[in-house]
Amino acid sequence: MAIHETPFFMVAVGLLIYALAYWGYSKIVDKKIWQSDPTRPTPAHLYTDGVEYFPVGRYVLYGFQFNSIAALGPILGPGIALLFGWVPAFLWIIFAALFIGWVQDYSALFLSVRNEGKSFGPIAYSLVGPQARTLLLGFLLFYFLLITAAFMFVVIVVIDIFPGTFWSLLVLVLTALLVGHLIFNVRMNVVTVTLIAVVLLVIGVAIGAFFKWPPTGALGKAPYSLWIIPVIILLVAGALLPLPRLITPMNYIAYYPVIVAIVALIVGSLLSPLTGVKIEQPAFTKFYDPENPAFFRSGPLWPALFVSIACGAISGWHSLISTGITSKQLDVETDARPVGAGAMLTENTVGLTALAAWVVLSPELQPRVNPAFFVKGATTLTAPVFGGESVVPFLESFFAIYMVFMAMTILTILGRYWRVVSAELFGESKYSAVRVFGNKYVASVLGFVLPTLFVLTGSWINIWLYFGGTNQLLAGFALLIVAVYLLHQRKSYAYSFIPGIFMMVTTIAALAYQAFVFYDATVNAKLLHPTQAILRDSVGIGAVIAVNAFSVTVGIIMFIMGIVMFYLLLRAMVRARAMPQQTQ
Amino acid sequence: MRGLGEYLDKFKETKMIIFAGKGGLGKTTCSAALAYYLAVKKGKKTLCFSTDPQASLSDIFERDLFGKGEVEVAPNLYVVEIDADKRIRDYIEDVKRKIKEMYKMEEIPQEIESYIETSAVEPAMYESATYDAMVEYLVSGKYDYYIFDMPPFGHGVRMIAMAEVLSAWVEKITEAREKAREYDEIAARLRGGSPLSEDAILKELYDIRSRLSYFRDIMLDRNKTGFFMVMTPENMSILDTEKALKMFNELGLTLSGIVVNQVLPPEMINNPSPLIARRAEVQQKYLSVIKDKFGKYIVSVIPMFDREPKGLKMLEKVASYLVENPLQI
Amino acid sequence: MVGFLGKIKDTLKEITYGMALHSQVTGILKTRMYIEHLFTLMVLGDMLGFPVLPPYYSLRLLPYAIPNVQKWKHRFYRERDFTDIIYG
Repeated sequence: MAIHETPFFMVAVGLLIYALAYWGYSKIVDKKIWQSDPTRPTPAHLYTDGVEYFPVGRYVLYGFQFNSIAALGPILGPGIALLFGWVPAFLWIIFAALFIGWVQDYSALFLSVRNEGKSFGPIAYSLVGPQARTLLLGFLLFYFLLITAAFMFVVIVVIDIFPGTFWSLLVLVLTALLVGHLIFNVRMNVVTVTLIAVVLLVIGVAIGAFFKWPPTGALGKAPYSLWIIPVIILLVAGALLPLPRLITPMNYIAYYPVIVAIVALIVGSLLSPLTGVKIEQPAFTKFYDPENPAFFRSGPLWPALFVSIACGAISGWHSLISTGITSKQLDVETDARPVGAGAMLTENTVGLTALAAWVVLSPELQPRVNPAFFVKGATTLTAPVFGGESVVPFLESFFAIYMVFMAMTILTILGRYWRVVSAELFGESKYSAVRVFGNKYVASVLGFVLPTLFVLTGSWINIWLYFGGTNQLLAGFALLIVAVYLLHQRKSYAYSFIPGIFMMVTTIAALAYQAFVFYDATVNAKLLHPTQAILRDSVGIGAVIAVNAFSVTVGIIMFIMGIVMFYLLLRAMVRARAMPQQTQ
Repeated sequence: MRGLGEYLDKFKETKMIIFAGKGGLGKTTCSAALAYYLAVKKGKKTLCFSTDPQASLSDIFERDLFGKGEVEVAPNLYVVEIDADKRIRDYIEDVKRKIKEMYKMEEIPQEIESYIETSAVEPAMYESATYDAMVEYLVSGKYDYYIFDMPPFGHGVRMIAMAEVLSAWVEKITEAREKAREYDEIAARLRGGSPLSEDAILKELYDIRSRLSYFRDIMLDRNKTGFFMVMTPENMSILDTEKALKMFNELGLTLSGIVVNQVLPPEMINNPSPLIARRAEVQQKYLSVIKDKFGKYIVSVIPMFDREPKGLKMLEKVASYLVENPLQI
Repeated sequence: MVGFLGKIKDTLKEITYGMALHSQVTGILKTRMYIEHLFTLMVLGDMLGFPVLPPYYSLRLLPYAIPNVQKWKHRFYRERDFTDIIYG
């Protein structure tokens, strides 16, 4: 078997490129453009308050940054991208890793560090203008709505295919509550608590492997709509409980399976020439094939590929973390590269190994159809390393839980965020009808019910591409804001400006296409996806049209927001060019 | 009507007796007389505390007591006439010194300094300082009886409402502080650091809280605290007393009794002086109103004397009316 | 060599702490900060024209609140918006 037929090949080439990005390109940018200066005091030192602003060592901060940016993005995107064959997906991942991904994370971090540790909103306000910030707020609300939809979809389809996962998830939630209790009330030592949690998680995985109840299909034709109810209940509880009771302990204990999964996937791919696991998915397909409904729903390779592989290549979420938290804790400027670029390149590695897990799926399992197939791929890739056939149920349960945990940790954070922002936006309103939306119960429930409308479309590709579109659009904002700042400072900005323009144009096109797909389904009263038949049969075609029309509306809003933001950013560039140089 | 003596017999656990009412009606005289009776006649260690800035205790005991702390004016009888202004000044100096010591500062930062100075002249400071002094004496527990002559502002009853509000706030702050500390400790443990030293703020808060709750608990305990209103047979006084009674009820306090002061004996109606006769007649009219309205509260009636009640001799006379043989009406 | 291994061990420990616990700790510190704000507000409220505690008692607590005054002012006047509250 030729080595290039195994996932080893792509992972090895990828790692080489990443090394080049880290020790080559990013070093040049750090030295020549930002001119990182270890003696210049950072906001962490200037505004130390021991809470948000305080210096943290680079390894701790790297770990934190990576943990905060790692989610399902890098895992799921490659699955959809495989519609176009694995070679384009692979090329986009390494290309983005070299020129775009770390550029955004690192530059946004540095931008904030050089601007008093300000977060994205205030930076947008001062560099682009007040409208930019308002627009950003609206944009983020939709963005979070779409992440929530995408991740909820993943949770329920994984549970649908691997029903044991629901019981593992319950074990996680109970373990999280227990951990919260042990740390806060019993004041138990962290190491002991961790040991207890890990043991319980192993039990959870075992339960998931053997207690597969109710069996797939037992819930009739509407598994999505049924599973979504208990999942929403868990999420609402998470949004309402105090942070340290459920969410923080859950993030903490979920970390262990996540890190094990990542390591397992890397080992599995690197050992693939020995284990004999081969790439099974096609290397190339078509650029576009209007006869094929899957192609119709995704759109052509450009722009679809570039928004489908989201966080594994570049992600706007990261700039929120970089500017919102990390920049306030950076010890010295020279740490920006290991923290910002280092964490992103690690995330790129996760994306690469996820691609490896997808490509080993046999061609009859079409990755784009169902995100839960990732579990199968990951199991195929790693089973030979861990003992062959006999460990398959255990590995399946493990990877299913891994996906669900990754999704749930972000979902609970988003649910909380939605609640807090709603309280601020609507809670003080003069009109009682508006104030209702600020109520914490209403806001928490609504934060999950609105995304459910997307979930009910049942069309994984479209949900994901909507999410990917907004996510990459936010990344485009970040890259262009960095360019505006660099232009103000009279520094070379092309390294950020060019990827920024590329991302903006690509994502706006992708959003427009997705809105068009939903529009087509709405006006022609078409079923966008076979699962919509459930909705049609139980409620009627009107419900299907309503759900699709809702998606059209959201798509149009995102599209318009993208265009306006693009205009504002370009205007800011022109103004920055005209202005005399600012002193730092 | 058998005087305050009956009350004292009935409520043997009493620790504190408060005289409330407007200034100038003889509150201070009643306080001093009762304190004199308890200390001298009964041999109980008694503190008489006045907050009235018109400082009549000095007048009554015929010596300068103002701002002198606890002064023993007769065996077992201690008197305090507080100088609230001085107390505030001392207190503020104390705060400033503490800040300088804690942070090793030569000068207090300008904004803090001016904040302290503006706080110092707030009217509420005066009340708080008086109140705090009362609490301090009571909490010390050195005396068998505490007789408080309530300040005239807001019928003195405001003090009690203030105690409630204050306790509630201190409770809240303490709670917040405890929580903060809990979080601190957990964060320190997760970081692998050592446990924290004791929280000085919490200690301070616990101290304030325990004093306030001790005071409030005593105040609201019918067996330990007696509230007496002092009034005179005048229309204004009747109206004021009605108002005060309502306020008492709202605060959940029980009025223990009413002392009617400055009463002209009924035979004065026949006094040859038309002025005195007329006054006595009017008083009789109001007395019947008082009996009507507050009958069950009246514990004592004290006559009007031919001169200002001054000196221990006079106090003995007032005390006998107040405690043992009230004027019958 | 021992020194080198020890360094690797420390590094791994720090990365693990960063991944697993750092966000917990900052989350807790943030919650704590909001409580601390409440405390400072109650003690120093009338510095901002927002009297809460009678000044007599707030003065007694003032010495303890002084280290927070600067931080608190910085936080109070610092522009904060929705992008600041992603993790609570």
